[in-house]
Amino acid sequence: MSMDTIRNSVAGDSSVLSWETWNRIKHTERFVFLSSVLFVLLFSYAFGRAPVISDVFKGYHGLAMTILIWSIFALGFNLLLGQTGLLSFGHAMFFGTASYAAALFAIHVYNEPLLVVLVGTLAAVALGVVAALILLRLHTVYFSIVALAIAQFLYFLAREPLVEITKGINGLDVKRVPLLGIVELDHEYSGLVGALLVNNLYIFIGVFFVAVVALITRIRKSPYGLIFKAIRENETRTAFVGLDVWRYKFAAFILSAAIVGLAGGLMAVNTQFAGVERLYWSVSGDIVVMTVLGGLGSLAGPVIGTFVFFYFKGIVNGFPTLGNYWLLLLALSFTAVVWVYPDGIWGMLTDFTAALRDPKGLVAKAKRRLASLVPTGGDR
Amino acid sequence: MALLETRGLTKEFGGLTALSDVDIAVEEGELVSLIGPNGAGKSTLINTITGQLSPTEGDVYYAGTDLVGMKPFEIAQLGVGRSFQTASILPELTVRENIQVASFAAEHGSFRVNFLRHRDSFDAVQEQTNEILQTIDLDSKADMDAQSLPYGDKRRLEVAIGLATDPDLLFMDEPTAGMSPTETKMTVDLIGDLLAEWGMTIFLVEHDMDIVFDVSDRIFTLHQGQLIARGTPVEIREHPAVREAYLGGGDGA
Amino acid sequence: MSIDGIVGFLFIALSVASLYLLVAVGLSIVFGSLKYVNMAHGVLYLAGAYIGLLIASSEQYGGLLGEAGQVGLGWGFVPALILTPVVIFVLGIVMERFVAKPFYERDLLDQLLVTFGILIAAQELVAILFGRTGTIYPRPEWLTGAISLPAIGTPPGMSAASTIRVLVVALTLLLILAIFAFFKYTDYGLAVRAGTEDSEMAQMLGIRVGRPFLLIFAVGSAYAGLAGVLGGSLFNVTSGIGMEIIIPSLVIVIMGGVGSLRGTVVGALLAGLFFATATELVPSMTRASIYLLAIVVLTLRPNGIYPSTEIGQ
Repeated sequence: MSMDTIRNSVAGDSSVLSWETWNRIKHTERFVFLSSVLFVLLFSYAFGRAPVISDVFKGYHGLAMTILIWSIFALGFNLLLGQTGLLSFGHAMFFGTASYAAALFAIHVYNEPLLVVLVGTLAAVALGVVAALILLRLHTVYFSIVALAIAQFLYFLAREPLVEITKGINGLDVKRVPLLGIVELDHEYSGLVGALLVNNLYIFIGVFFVAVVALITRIRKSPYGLIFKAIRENETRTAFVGLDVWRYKFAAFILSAAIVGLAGGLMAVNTQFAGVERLYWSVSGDIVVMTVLGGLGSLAGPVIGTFVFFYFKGIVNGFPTLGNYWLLLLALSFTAVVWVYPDGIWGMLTDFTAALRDPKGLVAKAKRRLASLVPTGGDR
Repeated sequence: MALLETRGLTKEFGGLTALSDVDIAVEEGELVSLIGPNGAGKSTLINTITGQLSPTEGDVYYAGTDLVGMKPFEIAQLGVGRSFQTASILPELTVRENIQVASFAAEHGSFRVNFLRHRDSFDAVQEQTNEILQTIDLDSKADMDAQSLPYGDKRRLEVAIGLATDPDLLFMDEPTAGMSPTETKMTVDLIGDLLAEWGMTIFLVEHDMDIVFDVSDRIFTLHQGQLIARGTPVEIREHPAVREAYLGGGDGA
Repeated sequence: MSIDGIVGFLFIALSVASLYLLVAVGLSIVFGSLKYVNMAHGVLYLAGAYIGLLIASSEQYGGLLGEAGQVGLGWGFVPALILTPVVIFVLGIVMERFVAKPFYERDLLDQLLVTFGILIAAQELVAILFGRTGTIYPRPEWLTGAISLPAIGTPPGMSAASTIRVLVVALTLLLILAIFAFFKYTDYGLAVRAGTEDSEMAQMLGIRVGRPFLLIFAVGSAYAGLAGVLGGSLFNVTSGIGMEIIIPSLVIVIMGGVGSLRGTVVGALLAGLFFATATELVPSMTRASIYLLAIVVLTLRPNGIYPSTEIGQ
């Protein structure tokens, strides 16, 4: 939908700001792109001077950058789960491997942020090809668990046998060097730019974030977006209309691995560190929780889920009485979402705004959902 | 040369013989029907021809190509379309999107690296989708979620998806099951159009005997995995074996 | 390798296999018969370990319970061994009715996700109640040390065949035989098998598939609870052990082939053997060994070692 069309419809329509126009606009690529740029610009600042608990996050700004990187991770994961319907419990394998590859390249070959991130991404893609060949022959649950097995294998491999290379639980340190040799990532700005963006590192990460959002939006709007969803809905039928389901699943898997690898590489540059924890099952588990909690199948869902997760982990964690319960609360919310509200937090937000416009439609939808939850079979 | 030919097609599951030595030939442009009591092996036959099952023995030839060993999507790409007995649609996609998926498959083959192109830019696909929507009379509901359609519409969508793959040979597995009389008539008219205007060859599985005798050029009768009769509707109506196995037993429409 | 070395090796392999097997059995049967994948099975192991601890000893915990001073019955190891499976049996019934049953008709992915969420939540609850540092089981006198086997005496390599490990292996052997006997010789077992083959037909024939399946779910849970007590006494007890045990157990079930109890047993034995081999030859690979095994097996046989004809898709 081009700007001309919008202009024409606005000119011809007396109710300029009708909900229908909004509905159309918000799904256009241009809007999504601009929103994500705006989000990046305002995010760090709007996050405020909240008290942050862990040293790992290095203050609210550090937390903001962590959230942006993990959002990229979640968006990549969502491409596989939300779009294509493949649940991998081992996606840490891409995050961790990319992180290691980036760090190792920086230490042993050449250290430059852009190059190092690229190397991480490529390493994840290479791993993705191998993993896909193993995993795509397996049934749903097998796929999920063997993915976890591969990730655990890599974790234990990095911990002991390969300790010479990976330095085991101590991890690898990456020196901070200028981007392209000239731009200091730590350089802080003053004034308005400083208030919003703080430093070049944030811009570096933010650009990747916007790029990933744009890429995923484009994929969703391409034939792939349609075909991935078709595979999720009814794989047999999709094969019978003549589509090579295996190759499309492979494509989804590789694209997902690449995006998650990008996040892993960025993480190595951001934290100047690469370690075994990034391969551990809890990373895979965390990303599942974030993505599902936020809302599968949408673009904003994973980002929101990531934000909520880290808000709890970094900030709620420090509250006096509630603090200890942060993960319990998240786990219960996650379980509730899977049980009764698959659209997640983002789904709740969109349903709420829709209800404001059309209460009856929402009631009908709720009724349908409740009806679908009642088990159809009798006693087993 | 017949468009579709099976020779000595046999399918065994462990100890059970679902199909036994089935020989069928379908000429281009005709409409053949397959009838037989429940459990006769009709679905097994279609599944074997379209690649979901592999035959224990025998051959299947489509336009001269040996189909045995090919995967379902490869067979579909050759021009063999199919609509399923149950409404095998894509629930959370819209009606339009359901058809688009099939249309893309017909348009650009089994796989393309085109994830950077906006799907609206594929004009041929949009045109074909709109055409099918009109033919099947679902264009007023094009942007509804498929799962919210009433059952009869879902069955029509099922047929539409089969059509959108642009087949030369279309297998229709009980397309009118569960449809109202109006919808049934629509489907029968559609079948007539497909033959006359679209030049399609149709392989129909149906329980409604009125329809079968009305539209078929030839009829095959399957019973316990074996082909017990073949011929024109008139011949089949008189055929003793058919009457005994099927029509005479009161197991009619 | 000397006799003692071999025996020691076997016992490591068998005790590792046994612990996984006790947990995997419940998982495997429920997955095979009920077509229900249950990550929350790990909760039963976790609960078994902690409830066993509460029965066996009286301790000062961290967390919320820490405020109550010394908590626990202090009855000793054997009462814990006997009573815990009973408690977990009941917990299993509760889990089946309230968690599993609502999801039988739902997607396998949803089952995986929900049970995963419940496991994480349960672990957090335990951490909040008991604190985040681990504890250990108080081991009775007769359970420490090693067993001397006839004709061999107590040679040096036998420390690996410590009494507790012998207990684990012996109990597991008995319990697995019991399960096989259940399936082969009892009516309920037959009902479960029939129900597995064709649940619709079984219902039509009047076999009330509900109760036998509930029983088998609860029995599998009790096994996992027992494993929690045994595992807890072999290793230490923390809030994370539910997940720690469920991952390899799931891997073993899948490697063996869903729906095949024989496959689960073979899978567990293979895992134990691989583990022991790694301990001998490449010690740094021990913890990675089971995953490497599973990856290789499933690459060669995507449906597991003993695939059943139908996996509930």
